Formats: sequence, C-alpha cells, structure tokens
Amino acid sequence: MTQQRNRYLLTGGGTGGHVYPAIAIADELRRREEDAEFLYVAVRGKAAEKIVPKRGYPMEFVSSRGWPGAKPSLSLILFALSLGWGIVRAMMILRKFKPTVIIATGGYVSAPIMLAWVILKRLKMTEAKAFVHEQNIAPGRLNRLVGKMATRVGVSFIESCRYFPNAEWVGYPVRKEVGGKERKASREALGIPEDAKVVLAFGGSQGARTINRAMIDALPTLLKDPKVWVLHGVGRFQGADYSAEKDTQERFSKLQLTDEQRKRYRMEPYLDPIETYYAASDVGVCRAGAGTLSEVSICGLPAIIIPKANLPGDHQVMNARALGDKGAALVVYEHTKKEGNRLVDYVEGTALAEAVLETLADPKKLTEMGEFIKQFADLEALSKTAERIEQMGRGEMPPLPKVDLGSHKGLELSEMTGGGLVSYLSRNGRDSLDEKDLEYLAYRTEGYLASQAWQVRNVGVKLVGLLKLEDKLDLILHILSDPTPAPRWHRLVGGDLKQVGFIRRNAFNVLRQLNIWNDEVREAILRGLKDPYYEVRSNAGRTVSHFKEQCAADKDILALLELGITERNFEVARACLYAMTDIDDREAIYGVLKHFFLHPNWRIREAVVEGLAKLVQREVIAAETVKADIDQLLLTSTGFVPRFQIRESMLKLSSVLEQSLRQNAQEDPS
Amino acid sequence: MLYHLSETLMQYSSAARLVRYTTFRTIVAMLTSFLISLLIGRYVINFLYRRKIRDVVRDYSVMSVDSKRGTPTMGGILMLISISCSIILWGNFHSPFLYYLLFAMVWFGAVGGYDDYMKLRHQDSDKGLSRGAKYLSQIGYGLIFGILFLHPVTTPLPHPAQEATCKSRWNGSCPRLCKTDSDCQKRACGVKNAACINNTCQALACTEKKTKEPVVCQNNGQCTDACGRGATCHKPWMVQLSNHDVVVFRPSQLYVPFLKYHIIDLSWLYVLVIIFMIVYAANAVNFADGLDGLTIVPTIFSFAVYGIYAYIFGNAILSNYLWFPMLPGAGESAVFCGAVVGAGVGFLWFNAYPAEVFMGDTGSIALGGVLGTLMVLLKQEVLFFLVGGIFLAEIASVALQDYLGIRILGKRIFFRAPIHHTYQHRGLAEPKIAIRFWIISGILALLALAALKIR
Repeated sequence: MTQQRNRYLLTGGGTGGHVYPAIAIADELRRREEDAEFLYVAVRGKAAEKIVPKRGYPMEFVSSRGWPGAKPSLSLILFALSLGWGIVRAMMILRKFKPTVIIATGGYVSAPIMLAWVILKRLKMTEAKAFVHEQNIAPGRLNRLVGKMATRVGVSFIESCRYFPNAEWVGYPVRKEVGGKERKASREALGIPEDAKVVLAFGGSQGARTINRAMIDALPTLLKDPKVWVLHGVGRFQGADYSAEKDTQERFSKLQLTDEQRKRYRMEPYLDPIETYYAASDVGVCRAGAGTLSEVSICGLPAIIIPKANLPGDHQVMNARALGDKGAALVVYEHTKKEGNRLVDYVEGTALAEAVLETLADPKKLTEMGEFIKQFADLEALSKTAERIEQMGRGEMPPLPKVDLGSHKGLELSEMTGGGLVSYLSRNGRDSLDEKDLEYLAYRTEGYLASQAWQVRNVGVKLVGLLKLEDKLDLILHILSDPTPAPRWHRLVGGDLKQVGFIRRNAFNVLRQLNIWNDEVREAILRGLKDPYYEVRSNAGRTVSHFKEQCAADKDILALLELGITERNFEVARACLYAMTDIDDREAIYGVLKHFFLHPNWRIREAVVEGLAKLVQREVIAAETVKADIDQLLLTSTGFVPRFQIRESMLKLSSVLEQSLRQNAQEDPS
Repeated sequence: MLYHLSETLMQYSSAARLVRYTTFRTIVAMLTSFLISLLIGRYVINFLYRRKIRDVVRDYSVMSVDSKRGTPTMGGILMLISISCSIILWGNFHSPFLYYLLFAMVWFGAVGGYDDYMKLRHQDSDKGLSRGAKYLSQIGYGLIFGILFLHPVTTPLPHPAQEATCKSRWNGSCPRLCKTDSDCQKRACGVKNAACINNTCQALACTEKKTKEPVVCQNNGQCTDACGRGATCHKPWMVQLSNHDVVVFRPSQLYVPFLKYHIIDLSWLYVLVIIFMIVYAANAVNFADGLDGLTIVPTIFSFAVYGIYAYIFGNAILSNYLWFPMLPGAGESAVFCGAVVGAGVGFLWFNAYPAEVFMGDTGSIALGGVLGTLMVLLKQEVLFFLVGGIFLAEIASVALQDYLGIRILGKRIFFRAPIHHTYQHRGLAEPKIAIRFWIISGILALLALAALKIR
C-alpha cells in the first residue's frame, strides 16, 4: 500500500503509433492502482485528442511542432517559438500537477514536457522521475536526445539498448484486448465463411497510400481465387492531394470485377475493433510500425510487410527486416516513381498479389510463419512496463540488466550516411553483407538515385557499382545519355550538364564494376570519349581497356581514341594510349606511338612503353621493329618513387618477429 | 636583452656599441636562431618521435617502403623555440613592433599546436580543431590586433595627423555663475564656446582646432601639441621624428606596391582588411605545407623581403631617400625577421627532402599568422600577394577546386588541389616541385624588392 496516490503524467503522440502504447500503459496502471491519478499532455488537433478522452483520461494541451530540419527557414523559427512556448506551458503543468512519474512515448508532442522536465530537474524544482518508452528499433530524434537524461528508457527491441545509457528491454505494450478473440466468432461477426482465405490490408489509423493503391491493383489477381476475401482498412487520411477513402473508392469502381468478386472485397475507413479483424484473417498486408508489428505478432498473423521509406533512421525498414530475417514475414520494398512533378512511392500490384497468393497457397508455410511471428510477441511487455513504472513511483530503481549488444550490421548500416556506406563498402566489399542487407541497401540506393541533388545522386551511382546492382544498368546508361544542361549560373562558371562530371565519371566506374557488355554500353563509351569533362573521357578510355575483347578493332572507338591520344590533357592521352594499345590490331599503330618517344611528360612515355609490350605480345607489331629503334625513346624522368632502405629492413625484421612469435605460441599453447 | 645591457657593457668594451645597430643585431639574430635550430634540432626530433608525435604506423608488417608515414610532425616548435631565444637575446624591447610580433607568434603557435595535438590524440587528420574553431581563433586575433593597431593610443605607428583638440584657457573670466556647460551657451560671455569651470563661465580661446600637424616628440620625451602647449609624450621610442614634408603612413590607409600614395583611407573599416589578411596569410601558409621544404623556403623569402622593408622604414636616411615615411621602431621587425629567417633555414636543414620532421600546423599557422601581422604593421599587405605568390596559388587552387568545383559544379578544375599535388599527379617528383616553387618565390621576392624603388 503506497502512502500517497501515484500521479502519472503521460505524453506522446503525433501519430497513433505513439499514443496507443501510452494508453496501454495507462490502462494497465489504472487496473493495478485504482486510486492513481492520470494526466495526458498532448498537442491540439493530433491523434491523442481523439483517442484519449474516450478512455476517460483528463488532458492538457501544449504547443509543439515537428523538427523542420536545420536549414534556416520560416518553419524553423515557428518551430522554435512553438516549442519555446510549449516548454513554458509544460513547466507550469509540471509544477501544478506534480507527477510522480512522467511516461513519455516519443513523438514531437512529448518534446515540451520532456525538455521542461530536464530544465526543472537541473534547477531541482521537480522530483518527478521520467520513463521514456521507445517503440522502434532505431529511436526517433527526440528520444535520442532526452533518452540520455531520462531516469529509465524502456525499449521494444533489445537492439536499441545501444542508443541509451540507461535502457532496459521491456517490449512493446499492446492493449489487453488485442489477441484475445476467437477466429470462428470473429468470422461470424464479420460474415465471412469458415473456409475463406482472408487477406487483411491496412496502413494504420491514417492509412497508407502505397498499400491502398497496391491492394486495389492486386485485387483482380487476388479475387480470381474464389476462396480469397479481402478486408481493407484504408485509413482516415485526408490531405490536399490524397484522400484515402475517395481515392480507393474511385480506383475500385474502375476495376472490372464480377459482382461475386466485388462481394468478397470489403473496404472500411477504419477497422474497429481491430482485434476482431486480426482474429478473422489468414494473412496481413501492413506497414512496419512497431505497434502494428507487435499487434500482428501477438495475434500470430503471418504478414507481408511494406515498410515506409525514408523515416528517421529507416526504422520501419529495420523493424521489418528483424521479422523478415527470421522468416516470420515477407518484406516487400517500395519503389519510387515520378508522378507529374512529385516522387511517389509505389508497390507493383501484381507483385503484391503474387506474394499474397504464394503465401496463402502453402498452408504449411503459413502456419510456420504464424509460429515464427508469435515468437516475436511479447506477452509480458505490458505488465513488465507497468511494474517498472510503479517501482519508479515508489522511488526504487531496479538495477539495469546486463545486455550483450554485440554488433548488429543491419542497424549499423541504417545509421550510416550515404558517404559512410560508400566508404564501408569500398573497404569491406559487398561480400561482407548477407542477402537481406544487400536488399536493404539496394532499396536505399534507389532512393538516392531519385534525388534532385547531384551530390546524393552521385552517392547512389557509386552504390550501384559497389553493390553490383545489375538491374540498374539501364538507369546508369540513361544518366550517361541525359542531355539536360546544368542551371545557367553553373554553366557560367564552368558547369556543363545536370548529370555533373563526377556522376558521369563514376557511371563509367559502374559500367566496369557491373561488367556487362551490350550495344548501349558501346554507345555510352563512344559518347564518353567525346565528353566535355576530362575525367569522363579518361574514364571512358579505361572502360575500353576493361572491355578489350568486346571493343577489339572497333573502328568507331579507335577513331575517337586516335583523337584522344593527341590531347593536351595528359590523363586523357594516357588512358587513350592504354586503350588503343589494348584493342588496335593495325601495324600502323607503331608509327603513331613513335611520335610519343620524346614526349615531355614521362607518364605518357610510360604508357607508350607498356603499350608496346602489349602490342608485341599480341603480335600486332614485330619484336624486331621495336628493338631496332627503342633506344630512341627518352628515358629521363621527372618522377621517381623513393625507397627507404631502413623500412625494407624493418619489414624483414617484423616478419622474423611474427614467425618466431607464432612458433612460440605453438610450442606453448597456454 | 643585450641591447638593454649595452650601456653597461660599453664600460668594458667599446665593441658592445655594435649591439646598438639594427643591421648588426639582425645578422646575429639570424645566426643565433640558425645555430640554436641546429643544436637542439636532433633533440627536438627525437623528443617528438618518442612522444609519438607522428603519424603512427600501426602495423609494421604492412608498412610501405616508399612512404614517409611515421615522420615526426609539430617541428614548428623547433622554430618557435629558436626564434624566441634569439629575440630574447637581441631584441630591443622598447619597440612595440616586437611585442605585436611576439603576441602573434604565441597566439598562432598555441592554436596550431592545439590543432596538431588534437589530430595526434585521435590519430585522425580530420579530428583536429574544427574548421569553425580555427577560423574563429584567426578572426578573433585579427579583431583584437586590428583594434589595437588602429587605435591612436596603442598603434605602433607614429600617429602624426592625430586630430588634436586644444582647449587653452581664455584670459579673464565671465562673471556669470553656472552649473553646467549648457548654462554658458548662447554667447553668455560674448564668446562662442564657453565652458563652466569652477561655477563660472569661462570662454576657450583656442577652440576645437583640428590640425593635421604631427605631434612631435623630442629627444627628452617631451612634446608640443598643436596649440603649442607642452604635453607628455606617450611614445618614448619615437625619437628624432623630423621631415614633416614626407608622406606619412596612417594606420587606416591602404597602400599598394608600385604606387607612391595610399589609394583609400578606410578608417575603422580597415579592421576588416586586417582580419582578412590575417586569415588569408595563416591559411595560405597552412595549405602550402604539403611537400618537404615547400612551405619554409617561400616563407623565408617573404620574411627576408619584409625584413628589408622594415629596416628601410626604420632608418631615417634610407626611408627619406626612397621617399617612404619613417616608422620609428620598425627596425626591430627586421631583427625579428632575421631570427625567423635563421630559424627557417635551420628547420630546412632537417626538413629538406627526405624530411626528418614536418612543421605541422604549429609551424605553418604560427608563421602565417606572424607574417600576416608583420605585413599589417609595415602597411604592405597587398605586397604579400606578390612576394607570397606561391601561397596565393596554393590557396586559390584549393578554394576553386573545393568550393566551386567539388561542392557546386561536380567536377575537378585542377587535377588535384592544392596546386603542388597537381604537379605530383602529373609525374613530377617531390623535390623537383619544391625546388621549382623555390625558384618562383625567389623571383617574386626580387620583384617585391623592386617595388621599393619603382613607384
């Protein structure tokens, strides 16, 4: 029996994903302590305002805004003002309500309270403890910041412990109601026959355009199977350019389906109560928010997961991969396409339908997936979280359990920037990654390639080569033939095309790395040899050397190379000389090379010497001819490589040391 | 120190009189710092090596035979020590020039040293002082130095055209009683400007007389102000100022080589020029530091040229002959330049290809900062673009390549930047590039000296 009533302040939101766990925790706490007091602090007009009052918790409102990015802009000023005022309000709320424990579930809505708490705690003006719950594997920006100062952080994925000094794995608190329904009763309630195969597609409370559109595209294929039923929760999203319900309805009415087929599709703006729908379904098509995944896994519902792209830390992708890697779910990545002026994510409907049908066709696999996904369900999460919060309320702090984090390559990759990925891959090679990692990186690459900023596209191009994404060859060739000019002021100071020099240069590296030869590659090389930027020309020359069998004696290429070797730019001339001696089979080439015997730049002469060796080996020119006048080649050089003899001796010593150390270790294993 | 002891020493030997001559002290300062560098060089290098102040080769079995990795860095400390010792021995500490230069050396030596230290601690050449902190320290110095240089009280230049306001008392007083000056306004005493002194209005005879006449300090440390009144001389080192008809340097005037008169007087806005030149010089020398001997020789040439300028400005006859204003005390900068040249040659002894020690940021930023300060003190900022043409090429190539080419246009403008890497890329060996750059900087130094007469 506690001496005084516990006072819990809950905050978190922005989207339903941050609100529901807070509600689940509050419900559990209220069940345990009937006299506890609650207060939910949120921002007006957001998900929490609709959900919380229904459950009977009092609310207060503060102002806050999402982080607009560090670039100076109007929204950054508004952000600062709004958050600043929010913090002041939050301080007043904290002083008035005097909470025992603050429970923050993340999202920018919880920012004012948490920052106010940090300030008040520094000033020793509050005694409240703070419990932060992180739902996703990669923490959001706010939780990353305040999580370091919070009294305790509860994480849903044990891997996220690495982000906080005081984190403890508690799991994702799911409402008690979910997972408690009977399949038979639920189907009866929804009017679905016993032997139907039910697909449940939904994108959370707001809905997901990608899922909605892909599902509609998939319907004709899916409904061909007379046993398949589709339940579709389209969500309530209504924006300027997309309204979930209207858009889906429109698209559905355009489909050519029989009436019987139409009967087997059911569209709802909101799946309520969702637990009934879970229980009635055989397979789910959903997003990879931590909440959705926890609910799905508690229900043991095999799932086809379409993670949302480009979220902080790519957390949906990481969540999805955690399940996908264990065979508990199928991960389908979004692709990006241009629709008018905007980039739109999409999933091919037929591909989705095939994935669904394939999963449904194999009952053994289906049960297996159900079993696997159930292993992710954490039935203890709710009570564990509540327990921990109650302990904090009593002023006890249970010690942090030791967690062996080890390394988690997927998470590490998701934390890396594009440039970081490039240097990681060029250091370790693609073979250091498994298939799932590669699939994930391929998807990241696609995002980079679609960027408007050339710096980002350039990273994408590099990644195509490093990951050997052969299906991106067309795109690389397209980049190389893109004639769009750079903005006018770039051209004034020396720029040329929209696909800047670096991108074109790296595209040739990619062609070599992919090692695919076709006529379009040849076209690209021909164009590259005439490119206005010297690095592209020289790299095109190197690409000719790489494909020397395919280019052998190619008249068009040789004509361009002959121009190239006379260039003033030594890098281009050198690359062209190498390329020419690789593919030319005319004896006349010797006469050409002889012109370079007295060239002032020794690196050109070096290329000539090496080229002559190749030509003699390939028996294009006779050894006697070369031997006769090779002494006319100027051998003086302005360059050399020094040799530090002491370092050579040092190398010898260190190999001796290594050897004897190894011997000693063998003799004396202890 | 010896300069200050010369009076005493002269009692024992008349040879001690030599110490009073700037030329003599310049030459011996040069030799002293050179010898100190040679004497302590070996110890400093070994000390740096043992303290792991070098790029560590982590695994000796993968060491490359042709690379210089593992060479001790922070060799600038060797120069800083020998310059300091030499200056302490031979400097005339009455001159403010010397204090400004020493202040610059300490400031930039500390910045560069800290930068080097951080790099070594993290074993990562990107983990040094952040770009912002580096610029901030340079701009901060430029601001402090600029204000001190331009302020009439602290400027080391004679500030002859100080606008002297003279307030001599009018004989006889006005009977009107007053409390403040405003009570005496409106011609209360029949005189235009009267002031309230001892509760009576008194008119001022010599009112607000602005004059361009220099305040002349006499040998006895006394001077006369523009109203002919006796005043105290704030700058006792300013003796023998004569030749009123000579053009005078004012701190805020911008001079350009090959032109006799200043082109513009920027007043306090001149602080911006000073900041720019300080930041430019410190970074330019820093960027040039890439090949063995590449930085130090152009730096030596620059200091030699500025030393000659300083000697001429400090010498009444030579400055009169070359039609330059005289800067009393500037001769001490020549002694300082001599010490830097000597230390630089001593450093080159060890830094010559293949280098046994690199100067690191400790050396390059310190030398650059001192050079920047020196050219501002001598009012020959623009001359640096000529005498330090090598530095200009280095920093301009970096700026064009990095900011315009790589960041914005997505292409290389040069093969590599700084420019010496372009030559390396084209196949020129390191010593070849360094020596060619020396030749160019020698020619530029001669051109800069020609600017003394051709005006």
